[in-house]
Amino acid sequence: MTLIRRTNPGRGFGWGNFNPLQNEMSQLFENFLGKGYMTPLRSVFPPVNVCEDSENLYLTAELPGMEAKDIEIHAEADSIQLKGERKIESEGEKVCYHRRERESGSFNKKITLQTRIATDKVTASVNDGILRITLPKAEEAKPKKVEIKVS
Amino acid sequence: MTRELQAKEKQELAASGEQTKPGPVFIPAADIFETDKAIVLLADIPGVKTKDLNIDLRDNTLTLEGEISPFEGADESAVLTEYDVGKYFRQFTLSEVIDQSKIDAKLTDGVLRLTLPKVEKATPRKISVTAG
Repeated sequence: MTLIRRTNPGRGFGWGNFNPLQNEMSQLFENFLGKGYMTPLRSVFPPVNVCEDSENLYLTAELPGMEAKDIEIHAEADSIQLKGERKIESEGEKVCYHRRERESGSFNKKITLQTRIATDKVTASVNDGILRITLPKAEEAKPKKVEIKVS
Repeated sequence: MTRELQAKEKQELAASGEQTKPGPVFIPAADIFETDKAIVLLADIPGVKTKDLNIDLRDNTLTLEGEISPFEGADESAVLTEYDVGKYFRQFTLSEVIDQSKIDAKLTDGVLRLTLPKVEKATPRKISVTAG
C-alpha cells in the first residue's frame, strides 16, 4: 500500500493541476475586491495559541493594555473560558485624533480542549500584554510509554 | 453597553525593506492624537519588552520597531494557532516640529505611549540693520 500524505493536497498527485487555476481565480478576486477579502475570521476575540508538551497545555493570547484584574478565567475539565473587557481611557475633550485604530470592548470566549486538564492546578499570568495560562494535563490524559513484550 | 471585540487578523507589513532576520513583521494598531502642546502616539505591541523596543526620530520620520521572543519551547508542539507572532514595525511622518530632547516613552502592559512635545514657536525678534 502506498502511504499518502493527507495534508497539503495541492502537493499530492492528481491535485496539482487544479492549483494554477485556483491561484489565478484567487488573484483575480483579490485584485478586484482588495487583499484579505477571503481571509476567514478564524476565531472570536481574543485569538489564542495553544501548544503542549507531555505534562501541560500552554495557552497564550495577546491582550495589550489589559491587566490581571480585567481578565476572568474559568477552567473546566475539557474547556476554558476567557472573559473580560478592554477599556481605553478617554484622553479628554480637547484632543483631536489623527488615527484611531485601537479598539475597546468586551469578550467572552470558550475554548474546547482535546485533552482533559487538572482544573485545580491551572495557573495564569499576564506580562507585557500577553496572557499565559498553564493547564496541567489530567493524570489519565498524560502519554504513557508502552513497553512491547518480547515473547 | 460595551461593544464586543472582534478578532482581527494582524496586519502584516507588505513591502518591508530587506530583513536581516526571517519571520513575519506586523503593523501595530495605533492611536495618534494631538493637544496644544504635544502629539501623543499609542501603539499595541503585546509581547515587546522595554529593551527590545527601538524608537527613532530622524528627519520628521518616526520609526517604531519591536522585537519579540517566541514563547514556545523546544519540546512543545502547537495544538492550535490562531495568531502569528512576529516583530512590529511602523513608521510615521510628523508634520509638526518636535522637541526631540523632551520625548517621553512609556511601555505598559504591551501598550506604548509616546509623547512628542511640539517646539515652542520661536519668539519674534526684531533685527536692526546698521548702515555701514
